[in-house]
Amino acid sequence: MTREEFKSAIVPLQQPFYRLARWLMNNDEDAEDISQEIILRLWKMRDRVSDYNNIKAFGLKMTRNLCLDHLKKKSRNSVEFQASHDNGHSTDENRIEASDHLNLVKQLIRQLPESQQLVLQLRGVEELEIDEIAEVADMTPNNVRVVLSRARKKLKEQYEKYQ
Amino acid sequence: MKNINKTDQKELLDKFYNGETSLDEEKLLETGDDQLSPEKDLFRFFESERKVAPPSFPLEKLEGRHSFLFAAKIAASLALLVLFGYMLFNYFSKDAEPVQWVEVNTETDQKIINLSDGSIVTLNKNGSLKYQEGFADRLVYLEGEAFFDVKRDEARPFKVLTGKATTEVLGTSFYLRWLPGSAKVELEVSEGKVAFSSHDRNLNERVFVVAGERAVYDEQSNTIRRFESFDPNLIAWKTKQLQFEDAPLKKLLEDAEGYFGVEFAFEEAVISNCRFSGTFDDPTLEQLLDALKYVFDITHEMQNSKVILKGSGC
Repeated sequence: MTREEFKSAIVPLQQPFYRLARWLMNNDEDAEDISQEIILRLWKMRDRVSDYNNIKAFGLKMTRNLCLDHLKKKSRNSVEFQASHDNGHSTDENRIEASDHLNLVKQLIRQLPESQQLVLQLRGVEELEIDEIAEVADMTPNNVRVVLSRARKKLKEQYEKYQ
Repeated sequence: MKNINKTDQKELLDKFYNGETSLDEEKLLETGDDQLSPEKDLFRFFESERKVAPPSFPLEKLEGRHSFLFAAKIAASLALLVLFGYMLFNYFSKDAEPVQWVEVNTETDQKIINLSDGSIVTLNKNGSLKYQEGFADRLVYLEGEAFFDVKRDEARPFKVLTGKATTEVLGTSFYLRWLPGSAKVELEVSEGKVAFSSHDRNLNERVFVVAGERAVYDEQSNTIRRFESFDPNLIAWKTKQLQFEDAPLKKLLEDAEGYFGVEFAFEEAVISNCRFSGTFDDPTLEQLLDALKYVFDITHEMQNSKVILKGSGC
């Protein structure tokens, strides 16, 4: 893959990588670093990159792995961080202030288990097919559907509580 | 297909909640003019998330014309070289266990080193940190300045060797400085407890230094002095903060010299009575000089990396 080809085919993928990293890390700066790192890693393997039929899914998976790695390192250094990433089990649900609907949806998603959040994001924001989500999330396609269904139902149920 | 009737809509929603809709069908739900709330808000949320974009990618980072093959060739020749060196080493030290050392050096920048036991070392400029590959023994050699965040492991103490002093901990944060050639090793503990001793086993004098304390080992007298004070500015290079509490201006200038890598020229008499209290967060040299101008009657002039201070002082 030449530099020009890489520029037009791969570099634009930084956006989906960034979006996923931003969601997982909950932080713009980390998301920028991580998504850049993924592009650079793909650049280093540009000779083989065309062998992968779905580079976007492949890169999203790398992104997720790198994020989990960073989160692990961070939680080693600060207990506080872990607490805030506890998927909201300890969060008092009634404390949510529905300042606006989109914010409410965002906060409700944040309270779901990590796998449900991931699958929802990949489907809703990145518009991936079930098979692609299965690849990124390390699940079987069937399991993806189940998790997706659970997440949607749970969201609806929570949402209606606040209406 | 844009308008779907109520029954279709209901069916589609059921499918949606069962995770069985295709992407096209989801698009249909998204664009349908029905105002059903939970899904509409969910779709609107996804749409807003889709607009999130990173700052544009720094394309200059895509360099290195060498192909993978070229890199592999280099790696192979390096491996050969290492192998040869290793054989040579073994030849001359037949009974010695082959030990691989990892050495991290810094010149103009700081480096953060993640050790495999989970400890983190921030190595300041012009420093060197050396440890055995695998880091099973939790032992490092330090030259220069570093701040240690040591992962707790009661079974395996973490040791730092500097000059002729050893620092031993279970899990704490502390700062150490030893400049090669210098007779002094300085230690400052910000968390927990540290055992500080000379390598000299006969002395076997371990001094325990706790959080908020400082200790200095002096090689000439082979003694360790402990102080119940802590100078936060010793680690200003890491915290990016300079703190002063009723400090003589001379001390402020010394700390600033270390922090900014500049040299101040002044007349002792002018500043001898000045004292300063305050904290600088990630300051620039300009900001610090402005503060001095504001508080005291001191102006400055730059001459290369030298800052000449003038005025009537206090």
